[in-house]
Amino acid sequence: MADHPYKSGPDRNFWRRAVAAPASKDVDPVGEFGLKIRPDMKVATAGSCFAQHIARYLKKSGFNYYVAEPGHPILPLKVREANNYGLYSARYGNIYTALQLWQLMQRAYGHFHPKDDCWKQAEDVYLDPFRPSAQPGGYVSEVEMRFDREQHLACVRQMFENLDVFVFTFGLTECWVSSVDGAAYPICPGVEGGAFDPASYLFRNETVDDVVGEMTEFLTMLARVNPKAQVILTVSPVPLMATARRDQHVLAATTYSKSVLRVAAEMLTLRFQNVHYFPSYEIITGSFNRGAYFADDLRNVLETGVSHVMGLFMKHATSGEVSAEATAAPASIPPSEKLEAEVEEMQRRAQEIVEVECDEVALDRD
Amino acid sequence: MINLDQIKRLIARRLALSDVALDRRIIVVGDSHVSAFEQAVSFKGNATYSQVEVYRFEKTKGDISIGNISYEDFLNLAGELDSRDHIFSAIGGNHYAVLSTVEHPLGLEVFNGPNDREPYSERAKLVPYRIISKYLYDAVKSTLGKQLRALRETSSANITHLSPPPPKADNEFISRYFEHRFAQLGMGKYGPARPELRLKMWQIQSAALERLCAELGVGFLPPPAHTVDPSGYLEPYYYAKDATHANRRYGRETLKQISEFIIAGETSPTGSTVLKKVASR
Repeated sequence: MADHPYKSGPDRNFWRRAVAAPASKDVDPVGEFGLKIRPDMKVATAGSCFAQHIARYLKKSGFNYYVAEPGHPILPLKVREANNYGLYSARYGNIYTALQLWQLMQRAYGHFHPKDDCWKQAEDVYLDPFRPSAQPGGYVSEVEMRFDREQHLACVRQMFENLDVFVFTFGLTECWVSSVDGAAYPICPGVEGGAFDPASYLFRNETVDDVVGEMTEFLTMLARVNPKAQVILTVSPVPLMATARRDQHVLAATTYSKSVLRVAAEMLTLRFQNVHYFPSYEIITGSFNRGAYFADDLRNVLETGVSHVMGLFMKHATSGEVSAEATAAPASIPPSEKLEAEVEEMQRRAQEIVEVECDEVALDRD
Repeated sequence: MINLDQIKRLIARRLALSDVALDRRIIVVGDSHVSAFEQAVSFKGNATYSQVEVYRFEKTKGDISIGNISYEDFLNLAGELDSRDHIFSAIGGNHYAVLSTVEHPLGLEVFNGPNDREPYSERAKLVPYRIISKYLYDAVKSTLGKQLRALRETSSANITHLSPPPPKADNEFISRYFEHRFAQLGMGKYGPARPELRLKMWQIQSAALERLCAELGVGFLPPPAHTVDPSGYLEPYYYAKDATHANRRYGRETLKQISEFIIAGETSPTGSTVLKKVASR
């Protein structure tokens, strides 16, 4: 019998064996994955809303989910979480497009200063256009907004320079940009702040060339500030809420977006040795699960789907379960954890000082 | 012929209290800040305020017992009062101090409202206004708020909350106190936080207290105007010998303020949300 490439090959190369035959929960579309995340590696995340699931699972799995902007430790953790600290590795909110990510890096390093960089909603409500939902209720003044943003961008620099692994979830190709300097907004101005003005804001639907170009710039600069950084790309399976293309149906617009992002991700893994693709998109949208991983709105992903994605992520992209010993006694304590311990101790004693003073004032009479 | 009512009015005038005050109870209750009132009431020469009853909630720490009434006993007492009586609350008040007495290793910066334009330090870590103001509001609501609500529901008396004294500006004064106290608690390397931070935190807390009192239908009195310097700090003349409390003289000034409040008839009607401030800056 003649020999040919389809005579041999692992089961995963064959649709019948790898997609149609297995039980839905056993389908594993991850091919060879060239990175193993160890518990001591700092893993940062960014991207569209789906990226929050990755952050959540990393946190609870005992891996070193890296948060460079944890918020002031004087506030309890619950308060910080309610104000979007720790949702991602820095308080940048959702980053939907490659253009947004690239511009975030440029802004962090002072290479890009958008003109339209402050939205006034009321006398005491100001928003950062590049993360309009980051601060619930907005900032009380433009001065406060700018002060917070400077500290935020310092944390972004710290994040890029110190991470070991950066997990980025592509969300969209459609975006709105400034007509003055091309600054990309995470959401159309006027939807969650700002005011829409067709002369000031232009619609942009990125192409493969755009995404690959912007990500190439980003990855090149990341390698410059952090030569050891590894990058995992994934594509969000969440469809578009709406398309701004009047000539298009949202389903077709979604297919275009996700296709562009998937192709771009593939091209980037071929171009860069430190870039790896993880198939979250395929796991959720693959026909093998017959749509079971989407909620009734056919947009939001159910926990069963997230669990399937993250189970395979842990299996292929990490070194395995984190042992109890590893979480209880890490080999070395990074300086930031030492500082956190010192801060916690100081805060406890500050509370004690005030309490003691309150008790003793009864004993001290003028 | 002079009758009994006329005699009461003569006595009241001499004592600088309205005659209406003689047949009602005036109570100050709370935690550590009532110390200023205890001392003012008991100080010789302050017979004027001898009818003011001062209660401090009991607390036991190790061998030390503080206070003269349990919270539950005070609720029972409050339940026996009527609409002629007055309760002035000096409960709590030091949430802001926990955040801003000691210099934080990371620094701490806040902007107190839209008109606060100058950060003190570019390096100090910011807590945005909307976070800190909600945090302080939630803190006072979950502590003082519960107690005031219980008083409001239990008592027919007029209830007014007294602002805690403003913070002290003099860090050298605080450092002299801190040197000993901090050494005892092993905090020798930390010093007092900058006074501007203490003032901002106190102001944010005050706004939270006013809002809470309005929601609960309880009155709110700010500090007596002349105990506060032009920048908003407590005048040094009213310092107690520690980082956060005011002294007997402050207690006396607040008692004067309370007297004027009652005399003016600007009482907070039982169950209403009317706020009246006699001494305002």
